[in-house]
Amino acid sequence: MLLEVKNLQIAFHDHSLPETVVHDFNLTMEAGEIVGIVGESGSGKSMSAMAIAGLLSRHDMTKEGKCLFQGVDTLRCSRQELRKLQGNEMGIIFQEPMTSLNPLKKIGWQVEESLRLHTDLGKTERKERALQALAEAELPNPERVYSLYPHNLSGGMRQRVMIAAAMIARPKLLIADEPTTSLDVTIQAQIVKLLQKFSREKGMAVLFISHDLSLVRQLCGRVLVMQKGYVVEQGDMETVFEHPVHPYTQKLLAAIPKIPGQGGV
Amino acid sequence: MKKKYNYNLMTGGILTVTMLLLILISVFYVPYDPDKMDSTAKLAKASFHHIMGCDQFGRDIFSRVMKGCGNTFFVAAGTVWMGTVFGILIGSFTGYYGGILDEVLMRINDTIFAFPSILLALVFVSLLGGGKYQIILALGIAFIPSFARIVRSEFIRCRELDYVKSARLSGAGSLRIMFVHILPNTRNVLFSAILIGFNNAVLAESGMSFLGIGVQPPEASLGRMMSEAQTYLLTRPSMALFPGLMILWMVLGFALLGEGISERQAG
Amino acid sequence: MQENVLEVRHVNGFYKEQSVQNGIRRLFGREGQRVQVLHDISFFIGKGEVVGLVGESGCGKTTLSKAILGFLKDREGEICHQTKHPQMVFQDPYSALNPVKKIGWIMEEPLKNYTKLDRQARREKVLEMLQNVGLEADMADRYPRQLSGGQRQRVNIGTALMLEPGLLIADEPVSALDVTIQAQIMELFQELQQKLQLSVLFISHDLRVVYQMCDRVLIMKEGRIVEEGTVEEVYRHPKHEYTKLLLASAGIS
Repeated sequence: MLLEVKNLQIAFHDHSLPETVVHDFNLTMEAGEIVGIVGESGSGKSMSAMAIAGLLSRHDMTKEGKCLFQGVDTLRCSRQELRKLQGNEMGIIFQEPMTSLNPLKKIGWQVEESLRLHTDLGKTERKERALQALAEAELPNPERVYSLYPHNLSGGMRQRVMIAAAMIARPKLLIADEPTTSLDVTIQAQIVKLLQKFSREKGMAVLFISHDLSLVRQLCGRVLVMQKGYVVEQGDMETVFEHPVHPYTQKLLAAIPKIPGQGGV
Repeated sequence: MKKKYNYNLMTGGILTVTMLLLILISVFYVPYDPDKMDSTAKLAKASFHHIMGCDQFGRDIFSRVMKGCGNTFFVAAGTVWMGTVFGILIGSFTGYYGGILDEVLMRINDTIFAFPSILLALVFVSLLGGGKYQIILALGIAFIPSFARIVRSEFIRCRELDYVKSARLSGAGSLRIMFVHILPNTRNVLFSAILIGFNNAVLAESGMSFLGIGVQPPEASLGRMMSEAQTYLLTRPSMALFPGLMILWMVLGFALLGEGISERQAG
Repeated sequence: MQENVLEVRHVNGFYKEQSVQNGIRRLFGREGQRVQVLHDISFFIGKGEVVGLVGESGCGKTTLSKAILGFLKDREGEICHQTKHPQMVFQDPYSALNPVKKIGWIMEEPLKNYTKLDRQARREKVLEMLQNVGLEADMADRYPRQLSGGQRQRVNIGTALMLEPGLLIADEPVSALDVTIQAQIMELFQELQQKLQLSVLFISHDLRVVYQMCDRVLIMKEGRIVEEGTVEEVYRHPKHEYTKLLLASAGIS
């Protein structure tokens, strides 16, 4: 088992009453699996993913439960242990391709960063790996992109760079937090295909967080539906989408505009 | 979790309110005539009769401090008022319209900004002569650029927002958009700028009076009193101490108030 | 023949690039470099018709809406309205409402500027409109920050309808909202459209939303309209390659 989350609970304490934003979250993932988490804003989907990635370490919040990634509890392990995982065993990409890249550094430098931190590869080897990663992320002309700055690239290309940077260390798990939300639909479809390809060819697991049900349907094998901090329904894609049990899932699916004769979502 | 108290806001508020009270009282009542010289009380020590002592002419320092606070406050408030009003006018037009007008006015602004405000005020005073109102005019002009700059950048930020477009579609004219729709949105930034500007004005006024070009004798101002006290700094330090403390009181009060208000807006 | 509310004929739109070179050129009184963003755009909107405008970011959708509202200075071609005050509903429900004004004040603004109604009459109209868009009357005395995204978008729609506009431009009015809220706002929009016989230019990148909302659709790419027709026609039998790609990407074809 690659990832095992047990009874994860997250609460904030910055108001007079503690406010629990994630209740009793359970999830197991195997290598090569693509799992989607869907929900509306404020449902706790991003919060859960950030906790799994070990990125929640604020003083005004408490985390309970267990989150074992290859046997390491990312909720409680030390910063050194976390650093070994993040960007190495575990890749993370965010929604905003405009702000997740440093505007002052060249693309190549940013893609290589995790190799610089986690391996003792030399300069030429790093460049070789970076070019390979850029090519795998299907960026046209990797040599040229390598020496460009983020502002030279379009939103879709930046998100590809982010994926290349996350993929270069060959992570076993990729956590993608709304990675396509700010992109155009044709670009979205390309990114989804890219993630599928990586998952299939390299046996990488993907945790895909999105509010877009039709996208999740295209990409994922299994899905968790979250509402107000609770996982209200989970199961494999077909079952959840064809025979939703929980009223909220039914409501979500009904809210998608239908096109008659084109099947469901 | 316990409620967080905004200590800055409370302390600043208390300091400022007591200072304003002192100034208000001084308008109606001072223990002694602040300009009356008493040859028997020259350089008197602090006592029950003169709680802060007397200066080299035997004038009661407490009374002079009260009047001096009023004068300093009046000059600072006048300066900030002038800077704010003209700053808003210039900043709103340049920020909203942009283009040539913006280029020209902002370059003039930069030129004024490039001089230290005291130096600029000195030049004006040498042209206009000394005195309370001349000081307000001189410092006021020196203060306009910083306010204009703040207002301008807020207007530039706001003019691209959808609610401004929406206002235009609702038929609001440019003046209405500028002063009814956008201006109220700059109030938070403007308010803290006014408090900071006020403190700078207090210090500038004191500095200029210290140099002898501010409020003219025999009228009292905190800076002038310190300037007169420097001859007696070793023999009678309290003469400089009390006006100095008053400046500190005034500046600290407003600074904490400003800090507290921005804290409250953030939290 | 059907009466058209809006006719756009052979419109070319230009945009001056904000660059250092152009800044220097302007300083010396020369024209900056123009970039053409709209190429020979022609279409019409009939009375009571909802026309969808679909395209990806940077294709000129927003520039076209600016041109129709008269905000684009540098353009060629003809744009004829049959209506006095075209109105717009914006995408971002958060930046479209002035944060320091109460809802009632915001909704009254068009009446203040364009009509001679007194305070009492304006207030009545506002309360009536609040009811029309499904909000409680006490919303009038609240500030925008006290409202949710869906409620804000209802206010935006209400404000745009205050003057009973002949033409409404809706620029991605539901794409910033959660899917369940999105469904509610779409329902409201359709209900009002039918009740008031609104003519709408509905700009969106979401093909499913456009299908549900619109009668006809224009597909735009790189400043040109590449395909146009009734929704059924275009979705069932797309002709242009780009339309096919869009439909496939959205998982529709």
